[in-house]
Amino acid sequence: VDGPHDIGGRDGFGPVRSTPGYRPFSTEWERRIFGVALALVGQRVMTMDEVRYARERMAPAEYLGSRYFEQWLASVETCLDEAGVHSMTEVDCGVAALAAAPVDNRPNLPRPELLDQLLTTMRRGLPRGEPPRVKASYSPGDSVRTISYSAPGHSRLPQYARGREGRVTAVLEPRPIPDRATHGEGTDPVPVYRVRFDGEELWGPRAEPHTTVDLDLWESYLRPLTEGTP
Amino acid sequence: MKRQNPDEPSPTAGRYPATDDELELRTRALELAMIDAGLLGSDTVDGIVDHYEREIGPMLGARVIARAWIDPDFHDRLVADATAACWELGVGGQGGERMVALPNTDDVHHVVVCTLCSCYPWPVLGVPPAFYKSPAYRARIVREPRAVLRDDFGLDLDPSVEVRVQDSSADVRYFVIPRRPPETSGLGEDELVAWISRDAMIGVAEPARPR
Repeated sequence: VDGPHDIGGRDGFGPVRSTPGYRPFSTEWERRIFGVALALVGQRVMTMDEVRYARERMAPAEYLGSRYFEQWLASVETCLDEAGVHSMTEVDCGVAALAAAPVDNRPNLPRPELLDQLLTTMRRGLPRGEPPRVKASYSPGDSVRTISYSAPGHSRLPQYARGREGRVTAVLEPRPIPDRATHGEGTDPVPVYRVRFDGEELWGPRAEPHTTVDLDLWESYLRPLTEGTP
Repeated sequence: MKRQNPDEPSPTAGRYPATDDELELRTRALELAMIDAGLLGSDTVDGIVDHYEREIGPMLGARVIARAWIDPDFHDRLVADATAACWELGVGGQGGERMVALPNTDDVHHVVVCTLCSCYPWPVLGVPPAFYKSPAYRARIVREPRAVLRDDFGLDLDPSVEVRVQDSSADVRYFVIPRRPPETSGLGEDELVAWISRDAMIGVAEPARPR
């Protein structure tokens, strides 16, 4: 989906404001949505791909006007609505009820075994399994061209790198392609490559000298260079 | 999840952006609903966040880099398979199942971004800083990395050095192995750690003398 998230190379966002020091969260609600999202992903109520796809479908003005963790909250609400776990109507009712309640009425219902399980996943990582054996069509050094179109669903080929020529620099672990996996259309692993693009190829005369961009791309985003622009 | 018509309004349409007060209310309402649904305990959110605030952060990555500076064999293992090498030091976990370490050289300077979302090596560097998630960084670092590094981070790279931007587009998480400053020769691992900032491991800074 050509959503508002796909901003690589866009103009108009102004300077980058860097902030020294490690402060993961700036407000209490940021802390809480981070924890809720990780707990739900950790229990497979939703996947990170589904969370990303939900965020990408926000209306452009709403996405770009929202802060980072605000987008997280919106996307978790969308995923819960679409999974049939908790509808937006229920969200709205819950917010209205809470606004009318004078005090924090969070119940005291600890679930130590659940927390333990989630922290174990965080410490160990999600199970990775055996690297799948899938034949890669390209090898390091091969020249490729990216496809020039996007699918209507979730996809991970940024607009700035579409229809561009690059060369494969590494063959990475095959993974399910989000274009299908996010939509329940199959989790077969597909080869993934690191592909290097020269600045001039991506940005033309605006490119800075001696710059390159490496992207990690699923095989179905690539064509052999000899076939021309797909 | 069904493949949606991209022009169909998102379920959250009309509700964002919101104020801090509204977001405070929305996150509390969501947490309560998830407790009701049996998907959270009242201790879950604080437990997870505490873990990230207390146990995870850039100091873990700095430890990995310091070891790589001191031990050439570890450096080579880190470049070959960063996930496995980090586990040797007990560093790893969710959001870092597949990590790659990019070694800077005299000829190539790496800088990491995720233009489509904000993929980041969580177990090594913690939660990403605000600039890494900002539209300005995601938009500009791929097109004009030299200008961003120079103007916004004070890092003026020699024109002879190739600037190589890594866009983390397939959920592999990247961090940079900065070059070891010559002034650090003779320092031990614990002293080196203080030279290695989060920004140096993203590639927007060089290691610097601790202040």
